[in-house]
Amino acid sequence: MMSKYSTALVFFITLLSVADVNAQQTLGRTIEKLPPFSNPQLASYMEKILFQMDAFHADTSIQYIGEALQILDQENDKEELYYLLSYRAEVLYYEGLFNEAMRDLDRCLLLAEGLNDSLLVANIYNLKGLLYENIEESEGALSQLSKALNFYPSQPAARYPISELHHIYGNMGSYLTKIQQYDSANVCLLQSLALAKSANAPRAIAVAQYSLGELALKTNRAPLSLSYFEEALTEAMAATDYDVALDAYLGKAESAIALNDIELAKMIIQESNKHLNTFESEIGMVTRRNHAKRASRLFQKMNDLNMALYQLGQWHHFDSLIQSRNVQSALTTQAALMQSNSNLEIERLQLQRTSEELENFKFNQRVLLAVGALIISFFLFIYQSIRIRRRNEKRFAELEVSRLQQEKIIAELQIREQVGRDMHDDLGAGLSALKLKSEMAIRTEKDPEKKVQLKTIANTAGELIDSMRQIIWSMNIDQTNLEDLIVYTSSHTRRYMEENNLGLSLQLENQWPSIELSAQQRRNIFLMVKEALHNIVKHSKADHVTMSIKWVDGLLIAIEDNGIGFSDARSKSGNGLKNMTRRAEDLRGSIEFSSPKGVFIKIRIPFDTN
Amino acid sequence: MEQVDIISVSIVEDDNRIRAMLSDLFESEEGFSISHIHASAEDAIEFPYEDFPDVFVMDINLPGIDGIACVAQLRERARASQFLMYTVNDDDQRVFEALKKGANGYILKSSTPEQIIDAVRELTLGGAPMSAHVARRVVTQFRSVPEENANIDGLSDREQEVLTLLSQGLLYKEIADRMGITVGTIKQHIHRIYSKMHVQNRTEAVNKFFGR
Repeated sequence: MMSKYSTALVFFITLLSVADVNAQQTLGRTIEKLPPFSNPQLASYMEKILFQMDAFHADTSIQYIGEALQILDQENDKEELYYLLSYRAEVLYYEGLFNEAMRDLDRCLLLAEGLNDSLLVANIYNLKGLLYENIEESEGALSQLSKALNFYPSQPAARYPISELHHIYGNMGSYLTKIQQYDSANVCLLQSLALAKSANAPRAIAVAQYSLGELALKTNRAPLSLSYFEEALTEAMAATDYDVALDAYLGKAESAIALNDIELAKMIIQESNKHLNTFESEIGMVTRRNHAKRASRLFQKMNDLNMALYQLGQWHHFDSLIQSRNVQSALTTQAALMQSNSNLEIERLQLQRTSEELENFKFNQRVLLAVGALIISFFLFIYQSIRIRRRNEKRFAELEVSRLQQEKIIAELQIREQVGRDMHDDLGAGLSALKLKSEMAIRTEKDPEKKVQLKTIANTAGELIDSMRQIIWSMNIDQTNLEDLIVYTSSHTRRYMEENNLGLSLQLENQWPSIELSAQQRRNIFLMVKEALHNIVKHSKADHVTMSIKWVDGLLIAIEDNGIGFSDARSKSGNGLKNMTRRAEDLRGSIEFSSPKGVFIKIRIPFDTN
Repeated sequence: MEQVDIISVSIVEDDNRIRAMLSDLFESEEGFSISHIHASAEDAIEFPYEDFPDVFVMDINLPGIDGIACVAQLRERARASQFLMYTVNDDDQRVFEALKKGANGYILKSSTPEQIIDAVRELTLGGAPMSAHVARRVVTQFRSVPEENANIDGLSDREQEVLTLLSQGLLYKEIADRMGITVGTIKQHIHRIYSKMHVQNRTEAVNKFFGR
């Protein structure tokens, strides 16, 4: 992937080194606000676009940008085109569509060059730097950000929001921290802080202080980091920037841990959770997810495993929400993007025209060789873009298909569970009414024979209700692990033995491996045990049952009674035993019956633990 | 809890057969009287109460507003009443939800009339039932709240022991043997555990409100 960009990059560097552009090291001031676009339609679109971007509505932003592009005159409205494409690139970057974003940024760079506006050029280099950092082109990020600094003018002026110097220094500082160039990072971050203060940008100040805190933590200067985070927290709260404040809390907690003050750290984390609750509606999901992960790590450091697990659970919760939302929005954004792009021919012609124009413009300023090389690289660039775009389209289509399939399966499972539950509720209510009615009748009935009959009705109704409950349980989507099955089965066993006045010795493992079971597995295992116990109650004439459930690379269930063993009434080839054998086979397990005294049943079910 | 002379019971149930039978049951049993009968949660909520009954016997599965929401709404107004959820299945997540929202116990619809009477009487004496399934849910609930935020003392040692043994599936009798107490005492522990769950939930709600 690097090759195609480096081709363009190399030639841009060549051009610029030969070109006559003012490169100044600058200490900027606040950006002078120029009047908005003269075309009132475009101006109103820009307002709408900025509003949607602030609210992080990616697909709406892309849609508006697309509409605005339609009413542009691509020949003459170069500056308008620049702003629209650069904002689109930002949105695409946030949605993770890095290739598309890079394409727009490269176009913007050409436009900015053509407009001979070094602020616009610097803006693009800053955005490219951010992009490179995210697609792990480590060398690239640094050189882009350096260029951004080089091009930044001393008296910046722009029509619409654009990168400021403290942004660039801040990005550079945090990037250098990432690659462990701590001294350079410190210089950049201090510069960013100073610029943010003089520009009176409270959020930028808070972010710079926070980054300095992180740097101090990494270089083992905990008291310093604590004071930076404290400042960042104050600044962020004053700017009502609650997500930065949240990060600052955890920074403080981490500093406390570095200073071996566990009590303080725990207190700070509690405060941060309170903060989360207080400003719930203003803190985004990504921040909450990252907070949970970091809090979990800190609790681990403090050996509070309970809290660490809880936070990990929270992280997982938010992460899955974000993942599904990201896939959704990436797809819809891509769809919006494809929709707003005109067809390929016009695109290619436009690029061709732009490059030809540029060639004419540059002709006066540079060598013929550079011009020829530039045209070649542009065609290469176009060719690659088309190929990659086709490949992405295919990839997104495949993603969409598999996503729809998964949704379908989940929907079916949910419907099945709901049907089962509805059926159960209706039938259960009716059967309960029946049972209740017959039992009320028993209370007032004098004739003993009739009492017996009523009792039979009541019992049958009760058994039907139990059967239904067991079916519903086995279809239950949310109780799918091995431990749930064991608890359910052992509960049933205890109750059943108690009801029928049989003694029970039950042995279970202390810990069960966490394995997920399918509905079929749960049902079959439970029913095998149920069947075995039923046989004991009905046929064995026993008064005590010994049962053990163990885990030995699979489930090992042993049931023994002290009854009469196999006799005519309890023949070994009876239907009940055939059913149990079939169930065991369905689970790819085995079942053995033997009769030293009473009946001994041994069930073995293998599982693959991955 | 004090012994009451006549226990007043209100019934909230949409099935008219069951409604009629429950009403007959409590009318004919000594020591009980029927306060009101409601065919829907809306009816129970909008009723102009002069006095609240000692016990509400409430179906979880009501059309329109369900039993869980009904408990949540009535709980605050009927402070001295107890809520007994009448449900087809105790393995359901809904029973647990109801208990969190303010129910004091539950009874299965497949119970005998005697068991229903006993359950209501027990509730007024401070005892409540809990199945293994519900116990496991309650354990998770108490684990997820860090002590400082809960504004309560958490569970006592005895209560924790009862809860753990219940969640492993032991019968009341077995737990009673192990801990050297009576089944009645176990049920009183359960009753207190449910009350602590209610306080927890109210605290969570208050924190959210003041946060805004």
